[in-house]
Amino acid sequence: MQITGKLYSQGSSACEDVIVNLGEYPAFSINTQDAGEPQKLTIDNATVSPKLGSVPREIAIDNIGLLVIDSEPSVDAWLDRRDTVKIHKYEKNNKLVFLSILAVPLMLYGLFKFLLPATAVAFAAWVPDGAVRIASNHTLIALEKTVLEPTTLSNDYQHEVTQYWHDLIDQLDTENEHFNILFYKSNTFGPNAFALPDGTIVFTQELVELFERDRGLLTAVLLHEIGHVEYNHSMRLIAETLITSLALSYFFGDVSGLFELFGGASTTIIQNQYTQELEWEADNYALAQMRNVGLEPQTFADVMVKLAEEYGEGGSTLEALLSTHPSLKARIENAQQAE
Amino acid sequence: MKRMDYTPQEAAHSLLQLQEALSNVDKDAYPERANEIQAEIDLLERQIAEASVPKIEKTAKVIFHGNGKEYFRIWIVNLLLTILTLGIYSAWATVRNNRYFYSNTEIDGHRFSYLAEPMQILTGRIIGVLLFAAYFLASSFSPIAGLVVMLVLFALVPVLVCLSASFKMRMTAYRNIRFNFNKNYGRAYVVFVGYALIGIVSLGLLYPWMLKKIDEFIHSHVTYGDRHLVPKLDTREYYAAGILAFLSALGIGFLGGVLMAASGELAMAEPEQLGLATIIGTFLIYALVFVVSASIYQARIRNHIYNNSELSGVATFKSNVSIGGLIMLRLTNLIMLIVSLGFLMPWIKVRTTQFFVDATEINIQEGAESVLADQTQTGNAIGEEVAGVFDVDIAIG
Repeated sequence: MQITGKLYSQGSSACEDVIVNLGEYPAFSINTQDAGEPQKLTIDNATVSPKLGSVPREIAIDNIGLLVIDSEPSVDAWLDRRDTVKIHKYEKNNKLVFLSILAVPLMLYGLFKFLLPATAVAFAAWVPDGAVRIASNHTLIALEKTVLEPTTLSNDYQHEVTQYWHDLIDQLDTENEHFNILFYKSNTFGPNAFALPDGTIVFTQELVELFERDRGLLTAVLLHEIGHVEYNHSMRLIAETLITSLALSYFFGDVSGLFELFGGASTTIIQNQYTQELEWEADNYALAQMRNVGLEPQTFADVMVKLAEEYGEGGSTLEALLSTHPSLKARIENAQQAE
Repeated sequence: MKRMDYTPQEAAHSLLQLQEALSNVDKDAYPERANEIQAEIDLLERQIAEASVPKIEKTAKVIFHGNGKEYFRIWIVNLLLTILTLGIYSAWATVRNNRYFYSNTEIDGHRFSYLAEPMQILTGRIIGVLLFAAYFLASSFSPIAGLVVMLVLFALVPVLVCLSASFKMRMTAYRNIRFNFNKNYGRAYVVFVGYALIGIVSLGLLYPWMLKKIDEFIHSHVTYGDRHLVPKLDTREYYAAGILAFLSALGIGFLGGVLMAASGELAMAEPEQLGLATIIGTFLIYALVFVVSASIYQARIRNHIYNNSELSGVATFKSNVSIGGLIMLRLTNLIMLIVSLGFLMPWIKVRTTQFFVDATEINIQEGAESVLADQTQTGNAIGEEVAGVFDVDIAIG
C-alpha cells in the first residue's frame, strides 16, 4: 500500500514530503521525493499514536524522526493490527455513545447520592479519637478568637441547666460518654447551637434568650445536637466535602473557564444536599429521643416555629439548593408527623 | 539582533551626523549639497527600516479541523470511563481530549502534537490528590494546622507555576520540535511573591502592572526548540484593559441593582416570590459582570500579547479578538451549557477554540524551517497536576 506522508527528521523543524510503502506487517519503507534507495524500516522500532477521531496518524520512528500520514481506514487497519485496547472503537460505536448519554447522569447521581456518603460514613468511623479531640479543641479555640464571646448568663443558671441535662443524657443510650455543654455570646451566630465532634455542644446566649430559658425547647435543641455527635456528622461532612471537590475537579476539571463560574456553585449545591441530609438525621434522632426524656415531639416543632418567626420559614426550590439546612417549614411538618 | 546586519554605526556617516550636517548647510546658498545630504539620509533611513523589519515569508491562518459531533463521542465515552473507574481513567481521558484539540490545530500545513503520556498525568494527579487531601484534612481538623499548610503551599506557588508552565510547554510540539519553559525559580519568586505583595499593598492600584509582570515572566521564558519567545508588553495597555473591565463591572452591577430594585417595586410581588426573583436576578447580574469584564480584559490582553511577541527568527503573531464577539461567545456558551445541562460541552469547547483560531494569524519567517531541537527531556506531570488541583494553574495563550 503506497501513501504520501510528511517526515520531520529528528532534531530539526525541517519537513519533507515522502512516499510511504506499508508492506508485509511490520515492515514498511519511506521514499523521499528526490528518489534514492527507499529506507527499509519496521514498525517495531516506532511508536504509533493511538487512533483518535480523524486526526492524522503520528509515527515516531526511533533515530529517524516523526512520520505523519493521513488517517484512512486501510492505513488505520495496518497500523492498529496489534492494538488490544481500542478506545476509538468505543467512541465510534453509536450504541455505546447513546448508552453513555444515559449512563453518565445516572452514574453521577448514584455516585454522589449513595457511594460518596457511604464512603464518608466509613471514613468517619475510622478517624481516631485523638484526631477528633484535636479537631474539636482547635475549632473551639479558633471560634473563641473570632466570633464567640464569654456569656453573661449567670454561673448558677449555667450550672443548673447543664446539671439537668447531664441527668437527662444519663437516661439516653448514647455511644459518646462525655458531653460538654458550653454557653457563649455571639453576634455573628445569633440564636444558634452547634456540636463539635468530641461531644462539645455550644449554645449561644442569644438562643437561650430567644427561647426565654424554656427548658423543653432548649432540650429539644440539645437532642438535635447530640444526634450530630452520635452519628459522627462532623467527620462525615469533612469526608463528603473532600471527596466532592476532588470528584468534581477530576470529572469536569477539563472544563476550564466555565468551571470557574460554576465550580464553586456546584460544589456548594451538592454540599448543601449533604448537610441537609445530616440535619434530617439529627432531627429524627431528636424526635425519636423526645419521649425518652419526657418531652412530646410537638416541642421540637415549637422550636422550629420559634426559629421560623426569627428567620422566616423558606421553602422555595432555589432556597433548598442554596441553603445548608432544610427549610423550617419542612422540619416543622416532619416534627408534627412524628407525633 | 542578528538580522540587523545594517546598523547606523556601520554606515559611512551615521544618521545623526547627516542630520546635523543638513541642519548646518545653508539650503538657499548650496541647494545641491543639501539635496545630496537629504538623499543620503533618505537612503539610510530606508535601509535601517528594512534591516529592522525582518522579511516576512508568508502569512498563515490557523486552521482548526475539529467538529462538535466527532468530539462529543470522544468526550462522552471518556467521561463514562472516568466515572466507571472512579476517576482513575481521567488521566487517559485528559490525554485524548487534549490530543483532539492539539492535533486538529494546523498552521501552515503542520499540526500541533500533544505529547503527554497518561501515566505522567496519573502520577501527578495522585500526588496532587494527596497534597490536597493533606491540606484539606489539616485545615478541617485544626484551623491552625490548615493555616500553616496554606502558608507552606503559598510559598510554593512560584515553584508550582514554573513546573506547571514547563510541563504544559514540553508536552506541546509543532513540526516535531518541542516547546519548553525555562524554569527560572528566582525570578518566579520575585514576580509571584515580591510583585504580588506590592500589588496587594498598593490596594490594587498596581495590579495591572503586576499582571503585566506575570505575563511577561511567563511568556519570556517560553522557548521553541532553540528559539526564544520575546514579548514586548506595555504597562499602559494593562491599565487600559484593567480600568475598562473594572468600570464595566461597576456599571453593570449598578444598572442591574437599580433595575432589580425598580422591578421589585413595580411588581409588588409576594415576598416569597420576590426572594426567588432576587436570587435569580443576582445570579444573572453576577454572570453578566463576570462575562463582560473578563471578556474585555481577555480580548485586549490576548491581542496585546500576540501582537507584540516574536518567536525570534521564526514567527510573529497577530490576534484580533473583538470584545463584542468574545462577550457574545461567552454568553451563548453559558446559555448552551445551562439549557443542555452540560451535554453541549463538546460543542462549547469546539466553538470556543474555533473562535480564537479564527482571530489568530501567524507571520512565518524564513527561519521556521531551521529550528533545532533543544536537548530532549521528558516532562513530568507533577507540577501541572498539583497546581491544577490547588487552582493556581496559569494558562498560556
